[in-house]
Amino acid sequence: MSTLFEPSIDPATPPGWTYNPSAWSERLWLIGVAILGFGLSLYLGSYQLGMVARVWEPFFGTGSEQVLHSALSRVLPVPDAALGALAYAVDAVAGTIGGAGRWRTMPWIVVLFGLAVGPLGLVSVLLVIAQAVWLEAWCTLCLLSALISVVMIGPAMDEVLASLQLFTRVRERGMPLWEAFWHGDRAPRGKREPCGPT
Amino acid sequence: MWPHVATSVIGFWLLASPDLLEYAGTARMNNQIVGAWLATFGLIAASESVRALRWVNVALGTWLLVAPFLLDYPDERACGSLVGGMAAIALSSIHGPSSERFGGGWTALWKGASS
Repeated sequence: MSTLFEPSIDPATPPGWTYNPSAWSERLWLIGVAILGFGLSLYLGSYQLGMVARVWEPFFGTGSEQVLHSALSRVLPVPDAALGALAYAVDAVAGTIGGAGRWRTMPWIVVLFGLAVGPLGLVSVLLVIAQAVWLEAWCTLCLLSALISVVMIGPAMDEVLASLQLFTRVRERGMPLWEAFWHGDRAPRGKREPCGPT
Repeated sequence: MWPHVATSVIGFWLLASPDLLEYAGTARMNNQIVGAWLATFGLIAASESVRALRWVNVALGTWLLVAPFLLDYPDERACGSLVGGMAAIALSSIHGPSSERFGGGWTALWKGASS
């Protein structure tokens, strides 16, 4: 239990937690990293579409060209890096929407954020494996993008956990889950869960 | 945090070593696939709220110990797999110090809320 004298405890800290996973200090760097991934994917995608003539590759010779023009990268109607850019954009937007208590006030955006960050990272790992095992070629910026998307997963999941725990408590109180998913905790004023400045 | 980051370094090594040490075949494929996932789950489990995912790396490490025999490359190419597997199991068995609490964590979702 935190004492009354504990300095600067965030009022939006979930019950039983020692910090608020939706605080801006937890989210801002994730948004920044997502924007970095977005820029990288946009660059790789424009190379795949022929809008950029050459791609930067400091280590692996023609590796980037082989990977980015491989049959696998063209399985879908749009190049895979363009899809990656879209996924990073969803990450950045879903990371930004909502205030510092959004795990409680806007659970749907937290769940969307988690669903965007998790699978993007896991698909990136599959693409790295494809590069290594199937193409036997390496693409520096593709690896960097994969690293970025994987690094985002762990730090994004605490917020998802806080929202899922909220759903558990809402269900235990017999309140409608659907309502809580879209509008957050609607318990009577005074019985509401903590919610910080939004 | 650090044992799981260290496990991911083992993963990166397994991913890169076939090209650096120039070996091929099943050993290459197995090390690269397992290495990529070892690195991934090491980096994810470094976050305290999802620390439980370190058990995935204990499982992957166990696979690395038996893979050279099951996939039939019990020669010098097995060294990285065996050493990496043992290190991954040892490192991923460490929870590491807890600095935060998470309202009962993920198990609270099926055991009921802590509050």
